[in-house]
Amino acid sequence: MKRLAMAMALALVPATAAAWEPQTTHAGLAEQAALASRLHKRLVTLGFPGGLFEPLTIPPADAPALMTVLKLLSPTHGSVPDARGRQAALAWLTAGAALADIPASQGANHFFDPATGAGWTAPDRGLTDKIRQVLGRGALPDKGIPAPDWLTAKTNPFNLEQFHNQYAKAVSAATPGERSRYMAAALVAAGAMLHTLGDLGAPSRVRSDWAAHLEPLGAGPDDLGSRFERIAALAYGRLGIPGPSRTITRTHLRDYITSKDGGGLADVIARSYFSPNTLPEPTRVGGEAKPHLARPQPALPARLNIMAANREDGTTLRSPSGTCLARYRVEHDVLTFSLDDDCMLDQLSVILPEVTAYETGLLDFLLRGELTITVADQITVSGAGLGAGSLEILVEDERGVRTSIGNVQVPGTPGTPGAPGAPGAPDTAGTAGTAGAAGTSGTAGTPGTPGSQLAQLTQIATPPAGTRVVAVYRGTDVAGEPIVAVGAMPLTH
Amino acid sequence: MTVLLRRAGSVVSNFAHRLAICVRLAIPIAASLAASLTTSLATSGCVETAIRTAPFRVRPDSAESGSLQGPFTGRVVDATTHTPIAGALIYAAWSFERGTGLTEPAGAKDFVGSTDAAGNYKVPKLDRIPPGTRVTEFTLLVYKRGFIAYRSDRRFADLGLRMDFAQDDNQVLLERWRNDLSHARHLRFVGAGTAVAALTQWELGDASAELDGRRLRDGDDLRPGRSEGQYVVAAQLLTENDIKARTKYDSGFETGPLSDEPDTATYSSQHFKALGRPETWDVALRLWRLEPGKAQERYDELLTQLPGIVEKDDVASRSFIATENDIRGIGFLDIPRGIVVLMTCGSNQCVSQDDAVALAQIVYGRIKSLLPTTLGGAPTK
Repeated sequence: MKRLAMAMALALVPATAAAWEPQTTHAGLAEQAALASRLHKRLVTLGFPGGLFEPLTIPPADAPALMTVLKLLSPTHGSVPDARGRQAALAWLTAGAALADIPASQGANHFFDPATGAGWTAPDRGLTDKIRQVLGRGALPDKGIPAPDWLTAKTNPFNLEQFHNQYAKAVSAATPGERSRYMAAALVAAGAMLHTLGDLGAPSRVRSDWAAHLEPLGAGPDDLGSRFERIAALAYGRLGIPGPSRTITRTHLRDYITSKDGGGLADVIARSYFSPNTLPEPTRVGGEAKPHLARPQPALPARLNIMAANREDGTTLRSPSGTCLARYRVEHDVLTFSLDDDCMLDQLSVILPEVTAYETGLLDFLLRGELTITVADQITVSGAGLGAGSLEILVEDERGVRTSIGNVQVPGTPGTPGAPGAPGAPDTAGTAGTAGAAGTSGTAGTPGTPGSQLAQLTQIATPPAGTRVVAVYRGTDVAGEPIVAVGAMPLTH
Repeated sequence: MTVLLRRAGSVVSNFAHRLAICVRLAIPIAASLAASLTTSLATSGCVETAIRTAPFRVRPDSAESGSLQGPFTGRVVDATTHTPIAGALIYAAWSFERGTGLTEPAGAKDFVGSTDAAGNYKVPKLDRIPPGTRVTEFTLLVYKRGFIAYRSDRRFADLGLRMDFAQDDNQVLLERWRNDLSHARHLRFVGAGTAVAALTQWELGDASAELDGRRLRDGDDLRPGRSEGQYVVAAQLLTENDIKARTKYDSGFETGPLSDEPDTATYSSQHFKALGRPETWDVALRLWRLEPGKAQERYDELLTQLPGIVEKDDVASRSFIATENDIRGIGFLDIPRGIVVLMTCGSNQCVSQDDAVALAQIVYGRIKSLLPTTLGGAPTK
């Protein structure tokens, strides 16, 4: 019945298209990732008691450019703050997921072909593009930064470094208002990173099929986009995006997109699905029909069902798990392959939960740094899986104001990136020396447990007054990835 | 390759069609296509707007597709009793998009209104589409405290596609809220919009508690609207169309809460900022909802603090007019409901004090419609 309803909806909208839609699909993916991740609990721990539903404020005067961009979003999708710049934490995350496509040229950085390592390259459409440019319409960018590089690119306003900067300040800033502002900004950056990853769930974005994003599907001549992504928006919207069936855990940020073991989202999608313009090529039937493949995977079965393909409606090529990969039929002795809307819907029902699983994993990866604080006569801060970095401890008073009570340099253990003796290690000699060695095992852990052994990082005297102690660590983890680790504990006197 | 050629061909033919239209509008094409395009098409108004096909019918009994542009009409009733629901918030928004291939959101236009005593609503036609954009979406949201919200695009129960929304004569069945339902899910379902957010923020505490695996007890949360009783926000009391109908203003407003003071359980505001004009074209509405005694105190404070006060008592229980430079003010007190309203209107928008009074009368009429009973529960006139 659900498929029938979707089919009816698509039939009502036979000719519309856009990009992988930021306000519906991306916002829904980010919402599902947030609900399945550790974000709610982390927010509560850090002093945002409402968690995902805690109202956070970025005063418009502090970020006029951001507010201008946010006004481009539709309020009905839940990502537009009020006039004072306030909305729930979850809404800030989805806002980031929605505004990663603004300006539209940023969207060129959301492509990556693991087979070539390339990002977006504008398809040469000859006269069409020249006419477009003469008409003054938005010319497509010639090239984009490949998505894995975009996550850390200096030109990306919502890159990993930006997330870490804002996230650390959301713990260490003095006043509740400042922390609210920084946390909202951190969530915007995280949402935009989820968007970049999530886009790679579309086969055309990971198979160098740039032309698939220029299908003339809309009411007007400028309304070009990916039919696959538009169908996702129509069928699932923001609210119908399925939750993740699991959480993907990876050691390195880049591994969420691509890795040597082929476990990145781009790797999985590229080898599992065809895109509209990378289907098996038309082949004349006779003897053994072996259509030429643009890439080795997905591979065709040893024998295609040519008899069924001769029927008027052809037949379906399915994956081992039964998902539609393409339709094929024989007409005038030529075997051709195609992707229809129903086949795309079938693929989406499998791909979207997978994308959510990767996004949940990425969100947990960003939040993986966790410090354990124990309070007695001394405050003890411990962490697991941390390399070299700096640690700050703060105490919060009854007004919510936080004051620093200690800064230490954590050397990391020998063998961990950045540790003494390791290549490229910073010189930590002469820095405040109360930190103990981070006794990590050196094994690359999951985002949930980077390293497995909890090691004491520092110990300082418990202050005579205060309501809460918080700690922020900034450095690298045992895998050499940048990390911000945080912790908080109420103080009882 | 065949597929690629076919698709690329479609793109080219689309442009050819487009060129044909533009060419007819502009001067004849000269020998050099590019030169002509540069000099004529760029100034021929070819940057057009477009409207996508609506994913809903024009009427419930029609197979014909409706229009994203509107107007929209319908009736809101209780799903159980089928009695009309008056005073439900009607929030409508159109989404715009621009770009080709790589697209981006390009803003939204919203409308806030309420159902009348018979449960009817009307959303006016979208009057202006920003140049160079296309209308991609229209969403209607209906909210009334005590009921599950209604969206024109999705159902609450399974978050599936709603197939029964129609442009005209739409029937909205609001189901009563049940305690076993999730506030977290409901807040996600509702989305935002400042007027909606103001009405639903009381659910934030419950939603957060759900994620913590607990349920709020009475008294745990004192956010706006959490306590029992009816709740109203300033955005429900006056619309752009009310103002335009009275003052004949023919341009647009940017609407939203005033930035001076946040909405709370007792206070709400709405600002109609005239686009591209000085504040003498603006209208602002401030609403306090208090215990009757406190409302009286608030009103008296306004009387002593505002300049140029003249008590008139021609709206509600008591009222005054105030003037300072180019801004006209009118305030009134509704003692039984504990309502205090202060409306300001620039002298270019409200040319006479009568304009301001007339708008205040509209606001008071809405209050009576939305809050038919007093705080003590007794019906009022």
